[in-house]
Amino acid sequence: MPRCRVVAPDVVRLPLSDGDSVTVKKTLNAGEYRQLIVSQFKDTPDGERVTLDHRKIGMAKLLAYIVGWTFVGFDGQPLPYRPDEPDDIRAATIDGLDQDTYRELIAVVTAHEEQQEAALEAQKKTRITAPAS
Amino acid sequence: MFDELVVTGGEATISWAWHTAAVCRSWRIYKSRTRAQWSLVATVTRVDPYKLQQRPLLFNAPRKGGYWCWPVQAVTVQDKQITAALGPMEA
Repeated sequence: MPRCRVVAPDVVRLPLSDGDSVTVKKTLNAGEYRQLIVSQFKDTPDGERVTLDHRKIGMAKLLAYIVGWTFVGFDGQPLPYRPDEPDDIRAATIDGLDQDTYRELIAVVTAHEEQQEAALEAQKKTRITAPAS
Repeated sequence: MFDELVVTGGEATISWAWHTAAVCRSWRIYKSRTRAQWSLVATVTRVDPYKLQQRPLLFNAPRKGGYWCWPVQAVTVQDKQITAALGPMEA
């Protein structure tokens, strides 16, 4: 049977401090990965050298991966966050979080990304070494 | 208690997880007291046939401060018209 190359929209819940958690995409598909790469670079006029924008790296990763969380607002009600909202609205919501939470999100999402990359590499090796049937 | 309920709206989406499977406009949802299902009719402006075949699907209608969401139980698209059977409203 041929291998299905479509990325299923599976999610993973990552625990945070104080009993909170963040829900992230298990794996980015090609479009999401491409968007993540592109959104980390500075906007430059045509023909100029493309440069990485260090201010955008962390936020781009959070926007690419996060689909939900357990955070609440001042009123104790869930802090709205929908992955289908425009990037600027979601970025503004993330920008409203405290600095510790932002750093914690970056750390857990980066660890998740590294874990997934390692898992995908391992899967690739298994496919290459598996005998043809 | 109502005998019939009709909800209408402008733009709405059908989503598969965080992916947009279809964008609709001029949507109309009908519910009668005697049937558990809600039924949707809308004009479709954009559709991804592959994603629309996946499950679970959600119909998301924007409202003030959020969205109303219904699970899509069955859906068909014909001549720019989308019809769907919806389960109980989720939020």
